Amino acid sequence: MNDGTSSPGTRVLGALTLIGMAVLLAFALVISPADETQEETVRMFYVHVPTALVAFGAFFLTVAASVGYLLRRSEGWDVMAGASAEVGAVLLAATLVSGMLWGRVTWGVYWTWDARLTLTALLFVLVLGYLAVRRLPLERERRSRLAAVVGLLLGPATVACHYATTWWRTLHQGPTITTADAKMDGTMLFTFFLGMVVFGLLYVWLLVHRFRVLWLEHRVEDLGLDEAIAERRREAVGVS
Amino acid sequence: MTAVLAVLATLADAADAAVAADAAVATEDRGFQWALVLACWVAVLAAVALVAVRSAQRGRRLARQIPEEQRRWM
Repeated sequence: MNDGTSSPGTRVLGALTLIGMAVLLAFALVISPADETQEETVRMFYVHVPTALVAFGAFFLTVAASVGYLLRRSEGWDVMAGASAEVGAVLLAATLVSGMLWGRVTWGVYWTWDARLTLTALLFVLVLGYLAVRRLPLERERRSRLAAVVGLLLGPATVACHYATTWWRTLHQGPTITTADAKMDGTMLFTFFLGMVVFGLLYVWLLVHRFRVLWLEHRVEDLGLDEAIAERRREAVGVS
Repeated sequence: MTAVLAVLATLADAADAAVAADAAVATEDRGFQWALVLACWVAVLAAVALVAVRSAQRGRRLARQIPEEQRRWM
């Protein structure tokens, strides 16, 4: 019997994520070398960039699931969109915090109104707004439809945030890995890709759990509604 | 000649002191960098762990309210 949201599959995924995270920590903090320019602060790169990219991926899944919901009106798509946005919000918050700490040592300030930073903050506020819409006390179908429409806004906001360093002159560093003349130490590159895999696994693991939690919330909501209807019926029979 | 040597020795001492001061600043910088690096990792991992634990607790609490046949797919 299952006593929560875990299953054999999620336990395996969780174990892989934990092992991967331990290996990533070893590479990020011990094995990989310090950078010539950024010195030790380069070790924030292995958490900052993967959390940002995985968060962007999470928001694209929210957009896709929102489109799926608007086309099919299926509860699964709605729950998927909400679960992905929740996990994405956590990862984006992690990106903002790690970025602020990195900024303090690189630029001398925790925050500056640079295009990339501003758009990331706006994206975070938009996600919080989306999650707030999902909690509105409305009839579920109406709430899901409204959330799906708001969820679509995450698409252009994420694209603008991702390309901010290309479209505008920013203090924030531009593309590093994807540029043709990218020169990076092999261990550093490996650590970065390991970070992408580990934070990707972490995202999938949390996504599955959050999906199940939201689905259970819907079932509890249904049970509460059924109880209320049954109670009303009993009252009506008692009156007549 | 002795005076020149004395001046050179003084200059050498001053240069050593400057190098030592620079090294101390660099070490301090490294310490500051490591403090921020560790703060960054701890903040991110703590946030993720908190979400995972809260999610598991909420999942268990909700699952108790739902008949088993409705959550067998999980």
